[in-house]
Amino acid sequence: MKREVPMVLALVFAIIRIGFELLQPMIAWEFAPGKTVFTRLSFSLTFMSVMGLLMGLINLSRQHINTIRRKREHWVYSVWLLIVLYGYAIIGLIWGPDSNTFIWIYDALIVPLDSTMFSMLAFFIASAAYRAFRIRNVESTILLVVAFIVMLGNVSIGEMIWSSEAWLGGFKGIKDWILSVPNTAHARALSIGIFLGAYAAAIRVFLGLDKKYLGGTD
Amino acid sequence: MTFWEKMNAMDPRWIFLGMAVLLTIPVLFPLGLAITIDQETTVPIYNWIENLNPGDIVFADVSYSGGSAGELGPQHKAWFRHCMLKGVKVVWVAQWNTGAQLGYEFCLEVVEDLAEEGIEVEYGVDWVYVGWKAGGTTMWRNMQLDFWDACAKEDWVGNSFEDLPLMQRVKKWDKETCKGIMLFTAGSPGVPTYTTYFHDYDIYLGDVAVQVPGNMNLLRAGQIKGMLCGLPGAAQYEILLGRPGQAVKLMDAQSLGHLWIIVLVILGNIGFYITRKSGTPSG
Repeated sequence: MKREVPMVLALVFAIIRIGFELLQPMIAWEFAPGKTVFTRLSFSLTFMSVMGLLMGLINLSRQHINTIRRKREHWVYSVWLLIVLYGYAIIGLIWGPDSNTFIWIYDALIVPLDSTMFSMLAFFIASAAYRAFRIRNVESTILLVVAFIVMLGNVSIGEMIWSSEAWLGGFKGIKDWILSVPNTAHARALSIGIFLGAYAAAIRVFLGLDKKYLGGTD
Repeated sequence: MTFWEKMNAMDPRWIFLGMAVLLTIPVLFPLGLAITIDQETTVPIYNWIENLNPGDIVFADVSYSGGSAGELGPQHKAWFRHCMLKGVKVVWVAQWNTGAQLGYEFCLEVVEDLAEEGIEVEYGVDWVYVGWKAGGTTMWRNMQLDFWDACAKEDWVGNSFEDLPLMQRVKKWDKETCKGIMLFTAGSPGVPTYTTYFHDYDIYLGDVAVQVPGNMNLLRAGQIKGMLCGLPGAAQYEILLGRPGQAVKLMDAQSLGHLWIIVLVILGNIGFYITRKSGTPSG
């Protein structure tokens, strides 16, 4: 029963959800004036996602408390993580998310740290390009040429070297063609492949062929 | 040790220093390199706002955080400025919790800039910032059916929808109310929410450069109608608005940054071949 009940529930709710999305009359079913059954069902998903957040918080805390207890390598970072995690939450709960303190921490710490992490990429890309981007075979040569064209086609200096009004539309013209034709062809093929895979995985869950979400090994 | 062997063994800090110098100088002393307006990606977004009537409502989404604010911040500000100048009403939502406050602050910056120029924009009448709401993608599905209920009838700063005149016109997120959607995105959740649930709307993207190749197929298929591509997209929009700003200034830095990477790749390959020929192992 422990396995059968969740499997049946998954199938029933999958059918209900698909029905609501595909059959227009179902979407308008009302249980009270202006309140549709579909909206209520969707709110249950909202509730679940919020519960998921709570589960994540509990799981993360347990994992890091364990690390601290057993004094595993870098356990000090776990202490710091818990202080920041709960400290920020407590500030938000006591003074509210609109309070100056809460917003100051966001503006003065979170945003600059986030920006710094992202901007460091420019430096690492430059270093990695110098050390690892080598022309060893035909494939790497194509990759290099395409990278140069796309990089120059995106910036003003590329326009200065080979103008978009010149032959072949300059770097920009070739870059646009690369993005619009070969890139689009591969991206679309990839998307279709991913979505077909996702559908197959979802159907396996709904039909009870994939039971990993119930725990265990099969 | 030959020159090329020394080059191959160069301390990466020199590369970092070169990059830092090349990114900083043009910010302090702009070079004024020409910027070409992209007719296929940027212009459709500009034309969309230009062709709307004052009072029309559009929706916009903040699906980014501080990490991509360098690219999407200038896009956000330029586009919002355009809407306010044209009298187009904007309802902002945010799929990313981490960026919701930042998006709100960008809007306030635009409003302050306009006020300094003598253009008054009123919160609740000209724009509303609903911000982030818990519940993920399904929440956006609920917004289509009952916007007020889904958003708990409250905006980002705690104002009741009852007190915001613009929200009296936005009971549902439907095609009668919404004349298009502008999504500023840096990842997931982002575009699929709209291409799945809002596929029959006119969707426009403000995208980080790294995502542009991945979303180009949507533009070709007509699933999105226009796209601001990274910092160049923001700079082009600023030029279309006739008010070059932060993005235009930063474009020179980006040009030199790209050039630096190209020079490094070329030098790295020359060194690689020369040292390989002479039999010295290299990168």
